[in-house]
Amino acid sequence: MGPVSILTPTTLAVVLIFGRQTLVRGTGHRRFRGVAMVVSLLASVTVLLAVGPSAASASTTPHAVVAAEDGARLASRTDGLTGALDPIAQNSRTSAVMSTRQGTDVLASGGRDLSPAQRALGQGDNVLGRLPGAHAETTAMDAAGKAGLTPWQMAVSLPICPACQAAIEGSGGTVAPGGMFAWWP
Amino acid sequence: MTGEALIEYDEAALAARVARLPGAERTLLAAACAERLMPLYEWIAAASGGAAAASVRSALDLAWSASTSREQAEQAQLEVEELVPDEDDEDAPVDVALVQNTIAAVAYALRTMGSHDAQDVVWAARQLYEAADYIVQREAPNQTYIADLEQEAPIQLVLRGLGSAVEDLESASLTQLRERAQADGDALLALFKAE
Repeated sequence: MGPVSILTPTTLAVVLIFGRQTLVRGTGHRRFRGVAMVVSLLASVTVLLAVGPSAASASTTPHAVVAAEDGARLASRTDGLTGALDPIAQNSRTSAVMSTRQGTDVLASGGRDLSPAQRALGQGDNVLGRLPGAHAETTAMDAAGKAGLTPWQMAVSLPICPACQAAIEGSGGTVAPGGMFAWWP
Repeated sequence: MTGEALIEYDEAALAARVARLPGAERTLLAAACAERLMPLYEWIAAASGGAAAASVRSALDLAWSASTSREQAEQAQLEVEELVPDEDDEDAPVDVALVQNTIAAVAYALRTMGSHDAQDVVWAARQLYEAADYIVQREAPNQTYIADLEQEAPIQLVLRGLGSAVEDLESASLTQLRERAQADGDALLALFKAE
């Protein structure tokens, strides 16, 4: 079994996300710095061990590659949203980017919602979520629903909180170990 | 930008203008940005029972003072950055966004004292613009944003304030610079209450 053969869409996306987060998180958030790195590394290994064997017979499908590429793209866009903030804000605000089955991305931030600089990154075929006081994940889900979009995958800049995880799971989604990524069937 | 009132928020132009300022004036410009947010912050802190307002005020006073040492500024900057609330904190005030902007602006003013980095001044100005945007967007229905920001009174106020602050550096005394910033801050608070 080669390393590619255990990759389902989910595991491939999760590994890509966690691999990237391991690098990115180490330079940023004061509260989750270090913790997120360790969690992400452990989660990557855990997911591979847990899901890998059951998926060992599955070959990498075009769907898996597309999902993984989409996950990596979302992670990159989330980095971009966070990078549009000043250094202090990067430590105190959450960014989320959700892809949808219709091909439109939903961009969101928690609490105060997207800043002007972040909104400037979302010009074009994107939905800009705004739900004052709500977390970024909830804002993105609400925005997708109101726009008639079906969530596919979502990357976030800080670990998903228990309340948002419950909301994601309540909508049929799954939160990856480490809490930096979610997907919907 | 040459010091006159801005007609739009252009960070690149602001950065270029700040880069031509001497280091001490950069700090004053950043402090003038933070000062314009203090009335909002103090009002929110008083309404939410926040006890940190006095320490943030003291930190900003350090940024205004020519006698503040680099070590004092660095220590105060570190302390004040610790006060920036996370937007998702359960006990954060409703308008936590404005608290974030104010404390961050103070922190960037103190950073500027040590670094004289033009980018730190731009970050301080960014806080002011973001705060005005936040006040404007409170009027938008959920899942929508008001797009034509430059027509909105809070945005116009901060753009005029940024322009006049740069101008004040060249022509006004330190006292005048600070008093104008305080007056603009009072005006921004009034707009916040009126929106």
